[in-house]
Amino acid sequence: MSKEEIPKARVSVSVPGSFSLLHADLAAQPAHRRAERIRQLATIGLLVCTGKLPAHASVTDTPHGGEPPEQARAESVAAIRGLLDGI
Amino acid sequence: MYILGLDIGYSNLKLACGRAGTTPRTEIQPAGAAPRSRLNVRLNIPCMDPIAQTGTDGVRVRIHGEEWVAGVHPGRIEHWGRPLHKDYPTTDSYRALFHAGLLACATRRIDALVTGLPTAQWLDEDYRAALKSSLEGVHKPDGEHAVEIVEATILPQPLGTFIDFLWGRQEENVVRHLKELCVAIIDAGYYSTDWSVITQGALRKALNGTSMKAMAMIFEGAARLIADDDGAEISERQIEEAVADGRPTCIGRQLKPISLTPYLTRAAQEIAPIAIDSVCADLRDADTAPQVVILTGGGADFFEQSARAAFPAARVVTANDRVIANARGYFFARSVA
Repeated sequence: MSKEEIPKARVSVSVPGSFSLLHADLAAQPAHRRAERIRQLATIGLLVCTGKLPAHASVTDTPHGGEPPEQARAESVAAIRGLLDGI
Repeated sequence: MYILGLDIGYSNLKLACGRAGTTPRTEIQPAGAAPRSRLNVRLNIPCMDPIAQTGTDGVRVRIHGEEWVAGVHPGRIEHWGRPLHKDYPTTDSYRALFHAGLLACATRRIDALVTGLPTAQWLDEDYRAALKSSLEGVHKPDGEHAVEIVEATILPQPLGTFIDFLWGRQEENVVRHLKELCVAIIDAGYYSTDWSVITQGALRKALNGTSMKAMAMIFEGAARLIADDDGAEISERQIEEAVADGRPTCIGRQLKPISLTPYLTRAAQEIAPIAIDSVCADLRDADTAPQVVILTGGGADFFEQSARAAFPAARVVTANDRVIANARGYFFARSVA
């Protein structure tokens, strides 16, 4: 797999503080140091990472690292609609 | 359609906003709000680590014609009582944070605003209707520019996290087998720990509760333990701000850095089991055993150990991005409608 084909990091983050501060912190790092910084922040308990971190990892506050397949999304939407219909 | 999911907590203001069908922009701000005259002066000291900076001067909003600031750390506000009671949504502080949320969207029209109330309050139809009515209509958050909210929807708070959980498919099997499962959602907030139950894909309206054993008490306990060990007088507010900023230490006597984690963990070991026990007792009375327990809110990590001990047969998971999960779930609730 070439470098271009490596999918974007699927990193789930839990941040006790502000996402904007976290983003500012990571934006200040050179790209090649971001994964190391994420690990560093995780080590001292500032965020929780799940998943493997490739070298070019970045943190995103979008849910769970990307769009699931269409069928799975339809299943989620049906579950949410069912839940909301019941209240 | 422009949607704003807004979660106004006692410790943080969380929002998720954007057009339906898109990934929302999310933002977390501290929940301090007061007349501007109560804000102390911040020294602009450069900081080596941007994550450790103590925030900004907040957002200027207007409340009853008076200039307020919202979105600042509570420690920045002097001689002003912080509202910590269940009628929080009726306070000027809540209104100021609501205005700050509107300004953060930078739009003149919000087609759908979605927010939440603890389940017990949500069940009170008059209370819910009053909040809805106070949010809908034209507002001037900064006293000048008008922002219209076309429709407001009030959801039971834990549904926000659960919708986000379903949308993100954090546990595939929960989405697939939702109709067969009993799911307990425990929201460990600053002021209270709230819980609700979903069975067969529907909210159990009679099965919910609130415990005052929450993060505020954990911070208080940690401050007491530090005072016992070190003699340092560190306030619960200082600990709250350190945790919110992601700072792992506070400064103790003789400028000695004190690592907060051991004290927070010890305090949580005293407080969290009491809250979880009350959930267990209510579920036992209702002859209900959850197969899935979802922990959310800023204190979720501190409650995990107790939840695992109390529900050994259940799958205990901490919601992804547990601080923002409610707001993002509110956004998705309208995005899929």
